[in-house]
Amino acid sequence: MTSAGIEAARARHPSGMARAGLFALADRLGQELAGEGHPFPDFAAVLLALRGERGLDQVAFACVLGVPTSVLRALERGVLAPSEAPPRLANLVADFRRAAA
Amino acid sequence: MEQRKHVQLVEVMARMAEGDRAAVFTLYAEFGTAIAAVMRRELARLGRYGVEPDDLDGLVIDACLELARLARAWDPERGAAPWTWAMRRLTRLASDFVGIHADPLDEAIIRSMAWSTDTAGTKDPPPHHVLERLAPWDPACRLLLEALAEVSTPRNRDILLEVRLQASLGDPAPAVTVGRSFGLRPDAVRQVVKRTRDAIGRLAAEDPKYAPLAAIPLVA
Repeated sequence: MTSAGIEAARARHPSGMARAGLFALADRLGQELAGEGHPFPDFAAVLLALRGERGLDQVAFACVLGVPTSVLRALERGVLAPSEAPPRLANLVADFRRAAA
Repeated sequence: MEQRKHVQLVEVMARMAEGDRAAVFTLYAEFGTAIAAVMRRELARLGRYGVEPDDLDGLVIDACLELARLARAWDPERGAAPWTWAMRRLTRLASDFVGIHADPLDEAIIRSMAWSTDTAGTKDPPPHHVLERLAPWDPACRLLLEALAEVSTPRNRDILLEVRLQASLGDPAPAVTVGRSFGLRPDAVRQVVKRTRDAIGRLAAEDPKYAPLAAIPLVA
């Protein structure tokens, strides 16, 4: 089975369809954050999606990722630019965006 | 709702109330199915069936974001799930969707359904005739006719529809009015109506094909 076939099968699976909804919700939240003047709305929306789909607060998520809570908080608020994100977090965001595309 | 899920819901709503924007994703992931059922029901109340999955998902997202905005006002001690407590807001979302996505008026359909313009001695057609004329274009009418054919005799079908019609016209005693037409006592008419509605309700509960009928006013 090709990787495209695997991706298509994954998208048809109920968990894949729920993920598609999370992508759409991340899009919507990104628009809201942009409207509120957030400097990095899309990045922050994905971060929030990653944390929210795991049902974790900032402290727990930061602990799981092995990053300081203050860094996670600053990235979510836009105080820190995406370019300053720890690699593990940056990779998770990139994976999410790839899956959403 | 089982206790563990309720505890989780209370926690998610509390996090949203505190301003944690990530919690709306938890609400969607963990309770999106329940919210989708509510939105589907509200759409059905508005006569809208068979909504595309992407559109329904969009409504669920709208509902989750709305609940996030309202989270501070929800009181878990009151016993109502947030989507029940905020039903008016969610109904408005469904209503806005139906309004935006209404089918365009098809003049050809209207012309094909026009009855004689000669008003002298014109009698209104029986309700089931109206449903039959609408059925080719309206899935809800078609489904209702099929359900009525499954569970009732033509006479009981006519009694149910006539009572509903009379009630919608403001008749304060539709069972009396319809009883006169069918030569039945009002009690007998009410029994027929109840039995037929219950039978449709059971059909809707047991056969997924008829599930949308569970939410229509005739049955609910």
